[in-house]
Amino acid sequence: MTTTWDSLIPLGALSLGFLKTVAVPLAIALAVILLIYAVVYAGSAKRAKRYRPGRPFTFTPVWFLAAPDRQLVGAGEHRQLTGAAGAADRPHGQTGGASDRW
Amino acid sequence: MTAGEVTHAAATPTWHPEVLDGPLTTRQLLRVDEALRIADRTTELTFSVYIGDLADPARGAAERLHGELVDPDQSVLIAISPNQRVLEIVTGERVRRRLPDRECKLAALSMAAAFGGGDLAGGIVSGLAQLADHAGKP
Repeated sequence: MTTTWDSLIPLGALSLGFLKTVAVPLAIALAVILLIYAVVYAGSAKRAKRYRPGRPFTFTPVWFLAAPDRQLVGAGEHRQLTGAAGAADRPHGQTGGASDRW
Repeated sequence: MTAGEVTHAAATPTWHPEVLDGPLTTRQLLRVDEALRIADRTTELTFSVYIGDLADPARGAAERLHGELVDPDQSVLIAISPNQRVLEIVTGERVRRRLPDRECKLAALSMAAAFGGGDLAGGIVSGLAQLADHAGKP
């Protein structure tokens, strides 16, 4: 009985076509690249929310109150703050406080 | 909803606004909300925080905003203008007795230091805590 190479080595892999041999590793490499890109992009999108001193601040102005329904004049009618002179004309006492810059 | 956020001078009145697109993350919004509620509850004053541009002069604009609150005499407004890099703390007449200008200046200093490092939420939370601490219980 003669021994041939075919009976010693499983040659199934060698029977793969050129396309499969190239496409599978290429797809894996592309998937890894896309994954890294997604992670990097997601990270930068998250960082973009951050305020950076010296860079333009383009966010919508916001006003935080613990209970806006009770703490704003006319909050029930029009839930928008205008900073209008009319509101400031309402009589109230001398204000205090402090100012600073950074 | 996190805090009682109100968009300011927006084209359309909104109550649940685009605040999530703002400079603070959801986690930071929750921290600010918690700090505001604790400050209000412990002092029985009204604390509010405005972040956005202030018309010149900034002090006058901040005082006008302060005047929009239901009871300005019992209220404290922290107005932050990141573009102008200006911070204004406005206290009402009755609040001044419990929260002197000197204490406000100390809080403003620490807040401005945090803002200079780009930490808006941290500065707001620590400033609120400091002001509430100084004001104390009624």
